[in-house]
Amino acid sequence: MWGESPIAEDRDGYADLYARHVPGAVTVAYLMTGDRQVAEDLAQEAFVKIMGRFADRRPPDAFSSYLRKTVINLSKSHHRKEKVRRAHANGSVPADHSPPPEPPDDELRPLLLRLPHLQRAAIVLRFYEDMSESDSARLLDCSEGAVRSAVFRGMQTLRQQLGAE
Amino acid sequence: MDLERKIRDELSRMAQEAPVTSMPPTTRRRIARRRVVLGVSGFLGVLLIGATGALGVGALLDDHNGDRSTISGIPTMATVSCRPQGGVEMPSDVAAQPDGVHLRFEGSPGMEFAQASAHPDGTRLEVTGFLAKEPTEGGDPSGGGAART
Repeated sequence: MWGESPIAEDRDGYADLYARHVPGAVTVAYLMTGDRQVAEDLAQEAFVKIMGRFADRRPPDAFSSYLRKTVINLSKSHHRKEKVRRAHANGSVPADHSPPPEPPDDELRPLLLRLPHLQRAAIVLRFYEDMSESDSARLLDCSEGAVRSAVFRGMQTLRQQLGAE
Repeated sequence: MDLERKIRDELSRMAQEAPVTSMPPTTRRRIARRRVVLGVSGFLGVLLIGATGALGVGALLDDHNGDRSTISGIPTMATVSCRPQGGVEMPSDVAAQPDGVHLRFEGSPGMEFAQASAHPDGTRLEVTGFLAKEPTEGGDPSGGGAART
């Protein structure tokens, strides 16, 4: 019938592209969201999105960074939606500049996940992907100075909250 | 341990917890659907741009048709030399006015606008009036003149 068999031939090369690039994108999505299910959904959504734009006919070298960029953008949208959803659930309007509540413990992970989107993305790209500032800037659509500043501010926040140094 | 090292360790730990994923069977269909949507919207966009362009060209042609009327057989888009009374000859581009009687002069230095009508012999233009931006040396800014195609 019209349904696709899981062992269908990979004539279009989608499965190969998926296997090569999406696991890395899932990891980035997980580092950005801290949620396994959401990470998987975001990476798949990003893959469908960019393949829908005929990305398989573009230079293959750019595919990976294009996928990461889409994942990071989608994670930003996800956080925004989550924020609004939580605010509605609590019956309050989201306040953009209100400080986040104190974390329950001094572990690093919840603190990392609480950082604003740009700071978290800049830290993930620098300390996990080992990307240069210029590559990060290209991926995040901002200047190198903004990346440097986001990393600095993110680390400053973490240092303060951990009470380190 | 410094903070940078802590962050690297924590991110590595998290990366190991990331789910292992394989391509869901519906992916191809979702991609195909997106491409159809993209193709249709692109086609509609091109159609819209084409229609707008055609309207614009049509309007342009309409305007141009007005200019293309002839005056006594003298070509209406031509460069003529005209000499204001006592002045020097100046080249000017001429276009017929939609009324089919007058011509509009443009492009001559110092001359903003002029009107001319065809001489009865059908070979000459008679300038009925110049409106000069500045008086030309030896010329009459509001004078008449004759031009020959």
